[in-house]
Formats: sequence, structure tokens, C-alpha cells
Amino acid sequence: MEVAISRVGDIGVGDPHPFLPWEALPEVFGTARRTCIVLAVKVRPFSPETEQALVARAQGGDRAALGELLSQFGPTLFRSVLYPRLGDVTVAEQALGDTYARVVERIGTFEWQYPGIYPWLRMIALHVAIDLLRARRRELLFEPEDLQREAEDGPTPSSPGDPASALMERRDLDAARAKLEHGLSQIHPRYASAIRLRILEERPREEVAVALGVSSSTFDVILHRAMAALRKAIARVSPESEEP
Amino acid sequence: MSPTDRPKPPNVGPPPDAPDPDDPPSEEEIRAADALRRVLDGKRGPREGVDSAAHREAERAGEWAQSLRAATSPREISSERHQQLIDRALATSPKATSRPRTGKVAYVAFGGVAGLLAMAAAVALVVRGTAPERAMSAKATAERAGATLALSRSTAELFPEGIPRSGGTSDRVDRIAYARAQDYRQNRFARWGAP
Repeated sequence: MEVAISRVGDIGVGDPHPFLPWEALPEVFGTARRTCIVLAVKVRPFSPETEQALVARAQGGDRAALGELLSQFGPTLFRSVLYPRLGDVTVAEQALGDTYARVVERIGTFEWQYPGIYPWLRMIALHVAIDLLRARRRELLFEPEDLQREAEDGPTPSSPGDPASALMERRDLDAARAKLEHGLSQIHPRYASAIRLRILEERPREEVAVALGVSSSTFDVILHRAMAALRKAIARVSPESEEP
Repeated sequence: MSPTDRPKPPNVGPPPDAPDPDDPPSEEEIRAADALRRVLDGKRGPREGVDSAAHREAERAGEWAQSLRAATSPREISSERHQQLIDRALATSPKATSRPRTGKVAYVAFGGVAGLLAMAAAVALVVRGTAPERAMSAKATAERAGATLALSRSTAELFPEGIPRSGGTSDRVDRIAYARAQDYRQNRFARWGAP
């Protein structure tokens, strides 16, 4: 089997073209074997017919079928919905467990419709995340109201043939990044650089201080101010302010 | 038009951050910055001499920084942990479709409660049905005490002079209320067995 590889920086792990057939991968990414990373390319789990059959079996009490569905879609929920919005691995794992508990409880109420069960699972995960955010009462990038809006927006209809879970995963990841990027665009460029290098890229403090042309202790102050400025900038962004 | 009357220009672009990155820091900022550095370096607890409020604020900032990272760097759940979560969820319910069973349980529970209430109502009716017997026993008690119970009757005897076509209504009502209150007291005493 041909292993699809790419140069570092072409495309990151976790950011693959979803569900490309194996044969198409060399054409898209090339097969050059340089310093490389192996792409985390997802394989389409099963056809809509198979998924529908699994759902029917799960609704009939087949726990193995339900387990198969959760095994397939759970990692996507964790990666693109729960972890980016809850900001903590432990809390996101707890949220995924709560999501599964609700799925087990309510699978009988799900009515099959295109594009499949993933949008329903995502909706449950969002509501679980909202509950956890409200309970934590800590300031995070996402507020419960942000998730409420995402839940109310509902799934975007995808074109036939496109796996809904992949499209929604990409959209959820993009939404998380966009929220942060918008906040960074609202603050002083030096503050934004400090946050990008030290917080997002996790570079050493001394290295970032050199990059910004300041001493380490001065950089500490800049980072402190940068974080405060970003929190204010993100708090300023509300749906009302975005409306004309 | 004076300068103050002119409409202000729209607020275009990002709002200015205060303070500027190059502004000299205050003592409070230096303490907060140091606390944030310690949190980001993974050091637990405040530095000696640093107030705990600054450290708590820094810890919140550290959590917030972690949420920023999570938004930009998706993480995978480990397969072992994921399987644990699935196993736990599936083990909590004997059948995946537990909702209909829950509904049946609710119906049975409410049906049982409703049945019990119906039985209680029937018993209450039976008990109330024996009330005349209790009244009879009260009457017997009163008779044993040598007293008779006053019964409901016409108020004509209270007005031997007759009732005029108009006027004196309040006086008549007072006279009736007084007489019946007296009857009531006597009946109570008779029922208790008082002579």
C-alpha cells in the first residue's frame, strides 16, 4: 500500500483531506520521502446504507452496533467539538463520556435522515459542553452562549456524496480557530506575536523575548498585558456587535 | 458648527489597547506578570511574598491560555481511554433502547399510585358513610346526659309580633344569630355529655 506523505508544513496532522481514496493520495500530496510526517488520513467508515443499518440495530438494542457507531464518530467529536471548546483534556473526556451516556439513553428517539447520525451526535455533544461550561464558571475562549448559537445554527446541509462528519469537523475546527484569530487581529501586533509564539506555539520564554527584542522580564509583562488585551477583545465580540 | 457639534467619526479599526506594550509597568503588573510566568512554567503555588490573589488570577490566565491552545491544536483522545468511555456508557444500560422501558416503568408507577389513591378515596367514602351512625351515637350520648339537641326549624317563633313589610332587618338578623348561637352552644355541650 502506498503511504501518503507530505513535507512538513504542507499540511498538518489532523488536517487532512477527508476520505480521499488511497489511490488519489499520491496525486494530491506527492510521494516524496523527505523529512516528512504521515498524514492522519481518515478512511470513510462505512456507506450510508451500512450506517443506517447500524443505527437501526442500535435502536433495536444491539449494543455492539451502537458501540461501533460511537467508536467511529467519538474521536471526531472529541477532536473538533469538545476539546477545542472546553480547552481541557480531562473535561473534554468527561464531556465525551456524558455524551455517550445520553446517546445510549436516547438512541431510540433518533430518526434516520441524511446525512446520517453525526449531526445528531454533535448536537448532543454541544449541549453537554454547554452544561459543563456553565458548571465550571471559568473564563475560557468559548462561552456557553457561543455554543448555544452553534447548536441553534444546526447542521449545514452538505452535498450528496460528501461525508457530513468530515465537513462538520472541518467547520467546527475552523470556527474555533477563527474566534481566536479574530481576537488576535483586534489587539496590538506585538501582543498578538507574544501570544502566538509563547502560548500557541509554546516556544521557550527566552526565545520569544529575543524574537521580540526585549529582556525576559519585560517579555513577562508584555505577555501579561497581551493576555488581558486578548480577553477584552474576545469579550467585545458578540453577535449584537457583529450585526449591521 | 463648533468642533464639539461635529459628528464623531466612526470607530474604525481595532480599539487601542491600554497600556501600550512599551509603557513602563506598574508594581502590580510586574507581580502579575511574574505569577503568570510561574503558572505557564508549570510551577504550583504562589512565590513567597506574592499575594495569593495575583496567583489565582494568573492561574485563571493559565487556564485561559490552555483553552487558546486547544482551539488551535486539536488533540486526539487515546484509544484506550475512548474504549473505556464506550464500555462504561454501554454498561450503564442493559439495552440500548431504554427509553420505551422507562416509559413503561413510569406508567406502572403512576398507575400504582393512582390505584392506591382510588382505594383511599373508597375507604374515605365508607368512613363518611358511617357518619350518621356517629351522629346517632352523639345523639344517644346527649340523651343519656338528659339533654335534647336543638334541631333546625323555622325562625317564626323568634318573631311572635310578626314581621313588618319593611324595616328592622338588622334587628331580626341579630335576633336569629343570637338564638342560633345559643342552640349551637347547647348542642355542643349536649354532644360532649354535659347536662
